[in-house]
Amino acid sequence: MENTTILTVKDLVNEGIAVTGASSLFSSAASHSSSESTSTNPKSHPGAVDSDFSRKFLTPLNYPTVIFGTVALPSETLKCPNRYCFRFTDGDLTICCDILGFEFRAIGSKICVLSWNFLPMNHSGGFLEIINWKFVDSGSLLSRCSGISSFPLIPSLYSSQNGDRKSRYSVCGVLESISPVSVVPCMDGVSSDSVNLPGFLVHVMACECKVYSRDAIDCGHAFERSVFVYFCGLEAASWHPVVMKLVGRNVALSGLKRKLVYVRGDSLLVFVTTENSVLHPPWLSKKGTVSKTVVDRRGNCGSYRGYVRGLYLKGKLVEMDEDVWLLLTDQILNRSHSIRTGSLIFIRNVHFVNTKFPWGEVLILGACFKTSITVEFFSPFETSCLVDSCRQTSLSLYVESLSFPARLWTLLVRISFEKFNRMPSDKEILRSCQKDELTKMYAESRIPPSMFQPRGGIFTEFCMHESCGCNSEARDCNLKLVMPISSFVHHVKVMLNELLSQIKKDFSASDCLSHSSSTWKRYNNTNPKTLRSEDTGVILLGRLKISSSGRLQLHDRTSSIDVLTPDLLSDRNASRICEVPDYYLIIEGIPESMLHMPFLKNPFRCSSVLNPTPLAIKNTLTVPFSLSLGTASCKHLLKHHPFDWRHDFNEFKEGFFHLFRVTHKFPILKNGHPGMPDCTSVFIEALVLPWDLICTVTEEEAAAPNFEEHDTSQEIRPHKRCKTNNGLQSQSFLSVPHEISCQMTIRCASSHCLVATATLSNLTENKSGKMHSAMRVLLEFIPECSNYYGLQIGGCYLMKHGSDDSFCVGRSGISNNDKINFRPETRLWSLEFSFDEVLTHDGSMDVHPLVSSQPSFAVEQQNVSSRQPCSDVSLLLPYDAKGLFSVFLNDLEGLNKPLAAGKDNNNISCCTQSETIMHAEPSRLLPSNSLFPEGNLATFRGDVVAVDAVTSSVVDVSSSYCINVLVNHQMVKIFGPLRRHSYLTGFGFGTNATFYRILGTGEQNSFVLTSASFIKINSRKALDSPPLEKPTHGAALCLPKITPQEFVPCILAGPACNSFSGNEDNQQIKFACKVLSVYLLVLQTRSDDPSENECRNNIDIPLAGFVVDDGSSTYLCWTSGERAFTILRLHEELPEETIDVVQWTRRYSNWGTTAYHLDQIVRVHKRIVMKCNGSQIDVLFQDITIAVTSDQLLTKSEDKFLKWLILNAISGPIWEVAASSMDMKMIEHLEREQCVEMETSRYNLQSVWGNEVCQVDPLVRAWSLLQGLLNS
Amino acid sequence: MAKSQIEPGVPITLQELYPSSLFYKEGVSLRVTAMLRGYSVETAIGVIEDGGRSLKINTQNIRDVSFRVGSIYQFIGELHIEQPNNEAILQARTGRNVDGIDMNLYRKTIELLRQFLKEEDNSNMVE
Repeated sequence: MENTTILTVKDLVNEGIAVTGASSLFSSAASHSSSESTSTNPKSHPGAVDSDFSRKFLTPLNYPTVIFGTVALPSETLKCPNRYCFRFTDGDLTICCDILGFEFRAIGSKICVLSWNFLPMNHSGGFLEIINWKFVDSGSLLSRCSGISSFPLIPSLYSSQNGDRKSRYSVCGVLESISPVSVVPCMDGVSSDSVNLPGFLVHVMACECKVYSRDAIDCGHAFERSVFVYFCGLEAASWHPVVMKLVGRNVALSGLKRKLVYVRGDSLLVFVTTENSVLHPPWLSKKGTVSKTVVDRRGNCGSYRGYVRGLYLKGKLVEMDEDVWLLLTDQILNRSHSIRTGSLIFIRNVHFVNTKFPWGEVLILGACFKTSITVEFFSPFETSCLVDSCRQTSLSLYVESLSFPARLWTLLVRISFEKFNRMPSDKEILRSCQKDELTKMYAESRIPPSMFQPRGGIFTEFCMHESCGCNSEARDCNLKLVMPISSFVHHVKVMLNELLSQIKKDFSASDCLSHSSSTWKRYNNTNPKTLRSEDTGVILLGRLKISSSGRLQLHDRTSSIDVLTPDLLSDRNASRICEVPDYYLIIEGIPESMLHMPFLKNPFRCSSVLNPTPLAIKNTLTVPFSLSLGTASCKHLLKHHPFDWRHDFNEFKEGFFHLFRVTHKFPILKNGHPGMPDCTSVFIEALVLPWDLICTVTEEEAAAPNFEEHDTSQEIRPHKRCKTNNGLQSQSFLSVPHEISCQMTIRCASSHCLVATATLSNLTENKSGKMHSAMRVLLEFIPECSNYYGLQIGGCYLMKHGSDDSFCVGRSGISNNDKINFRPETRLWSLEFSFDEVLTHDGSMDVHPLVSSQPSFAVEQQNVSSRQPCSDVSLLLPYDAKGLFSVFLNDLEGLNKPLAAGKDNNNISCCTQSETIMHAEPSRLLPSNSLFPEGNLATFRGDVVAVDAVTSSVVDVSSSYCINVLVNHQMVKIFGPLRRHSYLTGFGFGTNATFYRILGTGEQNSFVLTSASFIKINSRKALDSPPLEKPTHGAALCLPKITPQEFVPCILAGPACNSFSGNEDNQQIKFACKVLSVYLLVLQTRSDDPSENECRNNIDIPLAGFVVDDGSSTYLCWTSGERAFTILRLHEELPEETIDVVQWTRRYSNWGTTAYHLDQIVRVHKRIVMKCNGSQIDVLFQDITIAVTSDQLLTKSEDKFLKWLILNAISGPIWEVAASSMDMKMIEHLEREQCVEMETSRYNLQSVWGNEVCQVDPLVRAWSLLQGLLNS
Repeated sequence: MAKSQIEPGVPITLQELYPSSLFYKEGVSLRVTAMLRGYSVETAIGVIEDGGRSLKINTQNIRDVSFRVGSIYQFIGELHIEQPNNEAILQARTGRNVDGIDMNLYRKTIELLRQFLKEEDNSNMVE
């Protein structure tokens, strides 16, 4: 020890770096008798944590050092967010510390720290981890085993022990659990002010012997009685870290007082510490030793010992072992700084929740208020300390209300959002807040109500742990893992690499890998491996973008993946996060030997969201993989919170739009044909319609767009009669009207719709006759332009007129085959035409969509009777215009067909119907005898059967591939240079594709791809699963569902029909009330006298008594007949869910009212008397007696229905009742008349007779009040 | 200079909020009620609209209010005029959902309230 340097705390804090030091560098200086630690150097046990390259060991000081100082209890002087951790002071400076081999006497005595870790911390300078220590005063060392001293909780009052009669209780036993420190508002005895007193609870399994005595220590204590001790007050609470260290050991406390506390209606005896309380440190006993096994489980709770692998979200989520996660979500939990990555922790009383998620099984260690964590070995790594954030966010509150599996899931979602950057980094807090909000909203939309768990507060959950629901945990959880793209891509890569190394081991055949790095195998006739989202159990998060190579990709901050989707809506906002729950992962070009390997051997893990596993092998295989998804499966994350749809609508205000139709798309030619320069632009051939759309959305219309209330895909089209301009009907369609007014429905992804009127204005104006020759132009795009990808061949589009746009500038001067530059920022909307038949066919309200923006789907869904529109804008035109437009659109159909690039205009005449081409007519072509292929251009659609690489080409083009396509049961061969074009993502076996403008070679069923040919992938078959072409789009794009407003007629009672109503002396009072309960209900079949009752049904209610409340007092309101009908809401439609309950009513489904169903019951039983004895209806209907006059028993469903009737009345609206008071005589008279016994004497309520009942409209009342005020 | 005292939010309708209006000033405390037309979680900016006029609301400081487009909300906060285009944005200090409110009735009550306050002021002056 001579050469050891004495360090001060100041030295460490000033240095500010994480270091580790020891008094002896070579020999173990263990001096305390801790049984668990013989090696004290933290570096001597590093192998326990799986090696992670990123982790760094703490820098060791290369000279022997010691630190002298005192370990103290937490105090207010050192502000630490964790509040209750030990302090270490050397007189000069105080820092937080944690200590291994803790002994009671160490508190307050001067110790010499022999080996330690120091970690700098922002708030208090640093944190000292004391690994090994000894007392400075060696004399005390001798006494350590000799006696057990006592430690008063409040030192200054030590002498006055046993002075108070009340504080005479003692507790001795095994400390089972400890609660975190919580604050309880208490009355201060001195100033009678309410103060917040901190305190914590401990649970002790105590011995029945009340008095603690030293003699009794070794007597056979039976620790069987469960006792709670509350450490109350600032000083007592400061013992929290000490008591925490004692969990699982024997303790004795004396000087306690008893108190009866009420927890959830039950009284509980709790011992409370007083000024005189004394803590007796643990003594050695054979009984109470802690189990040393790693996992010790008792029921649902148990202990777990393990190394911390990672801390996430400020320590809320702790990764323990593989698929073992510790959740420390409760804000109140006191966590030690020393819980760091790499430390060995012992968790006591933690919930073991083995949860089966769709992606795999996870063991969740859920911490509750009983859980205590002690660190057994400090981490040898330089990892950050756990610091509580005092900020309580709405997310943390939300998370606390969930069950453990849902908590884990929500935290994982929160971490996933980290991968997306929106806010500038200088607003860090704000950003994290909004991610919290985003997470909360997303979680709220996903987590079912069953995953919520009511919280009872610290006292309830600690003392009544078993009964407060802490026990009942959902074992299965169908929440899918939410993963950002980068984690997903990485995981797939890891998975493939693992497979590859496996193959390497198994086969050592390198030839199967030799080609893998090239794309040679890409179109090989091997099956691409397809993984369904159901198999992975993973939901993907990403943003859509078009990559520089023209491919559609889903990406996040660091990674991206190619996406194949049959239809892309044009209003996809690139900045929004999309959620993809339903997809197929296609892995192409895998060596054949790999295909048969089980792919999901390595399932997805939560850890793959958090920290990527490093790739075992690097750069050995570049397997392209892509996603295949439908429109419906790609949703904006928060579609109820759109911010730009308003902008969309605004764009339609007073707008002027051009219409065009895409007739062909030319592919992106990267590394184009030899001899051809690289083309930087992409082209689309479009037909400009000679009509412009003029929108005049008025303010009122814009202010009242329709909202879709629910996420139903069901939609109701608004049927609005369209006005046509001056006598369109009278004119024949040959003379074209100048203007057609139409109805426009604008949709955006956020389910909002706007219906407005618009005008189609004819551009040809005076030049009649030019009408039918719509102009064909070439639109030039830069390849990155998302518009290029979004436009579909055959689709109609709207473009807003802008004065500086070259499309618009030369609008009047456009002639055929002009090339027009298209600005990438130009906004386009897909357009759909439909024609209203109302004007011509009487009564028929059918709307026929004629042409859609997604023509591929129109072809695909031949068996689907009604397609849902999925265009951004749909125009409803009068039926008369159908002829006018179908001429255009038919023309377009023709134009879309054979059209040679060089001889544009001449070929229009020779276009054939698609059907003829589909039936493989190329056989009629002449056999080729020239150098270049000769033949017609064709367009057809078929299933790709195989893609073979060919060395000898049939024709003299650089056709390196032969695509075998099945078209109408005929095999067609298409040769061509397949390059990796944007449109070929996912191309291969099982693809259904449309081939546009491919050239016939003259040989039968043989074609070549030219540089103008375009391949569109419509769908893709997944292995052993139906193809993707499900017509499920439109979920995000629906017209609002129009729900008929529930209209409750206000039924006024007819003339009074009861003898009591004639009581003239009684003054009638009017009051508004709600029905609390139904006291009595007499139902019978209608009396023979028809004049007495005007009910449509066969039921009569001669007497009914309702307990009503007008807000100030409760009345018993008697009434009969129609008024009772009203209050019972018998005329209302029976809600559908009740029909489910009342099974038998189904057969009478022709009648929907409650009265009708009641009629059925009353008819059987003639007379039913229902009585309810309580003033409130209890849940179990225990107080209800139902008596019937018929011999038949009430069936179960009838009984149910009658009870439901009462509930229905209670849940009714506010009624306005005009009533007159009743006295006992009248009630007696009623009793006699109806032969019912009423215990009115017992029922101490004011009885009234209701003369008139009507429903109250609070708004009407408010208005009348206002009128009164204004007039006064 | 920052205001030393927080003023009460004067209830107004959005129609009264036009550039030359008495209320269209930097730092004026207002209470506005209108239907939420759009809301961006990313920027925490919502747009409320009533009677053809809309107003941006910065909800950065609001917690525990869940925003649903189409619902009616009431915000109290300070008006901030963004200079280049003289656009107003309300820095909301509190907000709540007031679904079910009858806007016409509410407008009338604002009038009544103003009338009352005016009379009160006058009577105070007389004394």
